[in-house]
Amino acid sequence: MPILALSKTIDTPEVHFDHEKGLFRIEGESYPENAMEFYRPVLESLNTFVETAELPLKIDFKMMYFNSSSSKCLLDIFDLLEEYSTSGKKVMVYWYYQEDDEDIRESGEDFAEDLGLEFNLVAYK
Amino acid sequence: MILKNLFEDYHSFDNQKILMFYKGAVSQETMVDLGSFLRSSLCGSKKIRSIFSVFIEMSHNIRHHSLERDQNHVGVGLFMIQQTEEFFTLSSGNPILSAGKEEIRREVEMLRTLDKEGLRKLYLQRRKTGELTNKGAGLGLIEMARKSDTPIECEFFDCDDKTTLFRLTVQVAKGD
Repeated sequence: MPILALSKTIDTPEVHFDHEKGLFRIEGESYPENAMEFYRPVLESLNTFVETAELPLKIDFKMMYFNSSSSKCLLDIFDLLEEYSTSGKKVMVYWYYQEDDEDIRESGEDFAEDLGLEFNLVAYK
Repeated sequence: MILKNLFEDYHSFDNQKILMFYKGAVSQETMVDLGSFLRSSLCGSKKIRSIFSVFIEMSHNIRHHSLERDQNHVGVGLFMIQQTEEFFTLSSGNPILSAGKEEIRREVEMLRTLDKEGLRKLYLQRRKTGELTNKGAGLGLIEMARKSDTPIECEFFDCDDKTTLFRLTVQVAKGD
């Protein structure tokens, strides 16, 4: 099973997705020139996983900042996670925010609100 | 003459408490560099996250929607951040087609009537139903309104019968 690995840049996050272990991690800042283009391989990889895998999926979001176009792409990620979850598989979402960062905490709550997923907000120093 | 203008401009920038002023093409690289500069010059301010976010959305608007283009077709516009006792005031300016003026005005007027909770609901609803294109998700104005501590403002200055200069103003309170 494939591993997706994108390195962090100043305007795009690090993405690491191990299909075999069911671990997905996205970390950093996201304000790319073209969000649709940046997230396309990420969504494709996740889509393949959702269509074929059976094992529990653990997702770590550790975003420091994302712009509005990226936010739309993150919602697309959550939609796929929900699809996986409604087909009876286990999905655990961990949304990390710096303890004084209300913006990231609130955007985590915003995503959690509409989704029927196990959603954990985790503060860090 | 040039020196006299320079002298006047120097004081004008001081009097208007301008922290940063940029007029030119806003490529991705330029935006990243200006953003880093903004962060380092406002380092320590509690509101840096909101300011950075508004800056990115304004830059994005200029890059994708300005009528003026440089030789590489990158959108050209103006960005400015000023400081008053209570607020950081962020402004962007770029020419647009006059035909698009009313649509923007209506959208801004509508956003001005919403409180924080109303803006949040609209943002979530548009994010869910809206289409993402190469120009973005159509969420930029709402995002800026959410970060703004006063209702966002737009102004239009007609250049000729086809083009108008669009100015957008967002204020972020300095806080304690």
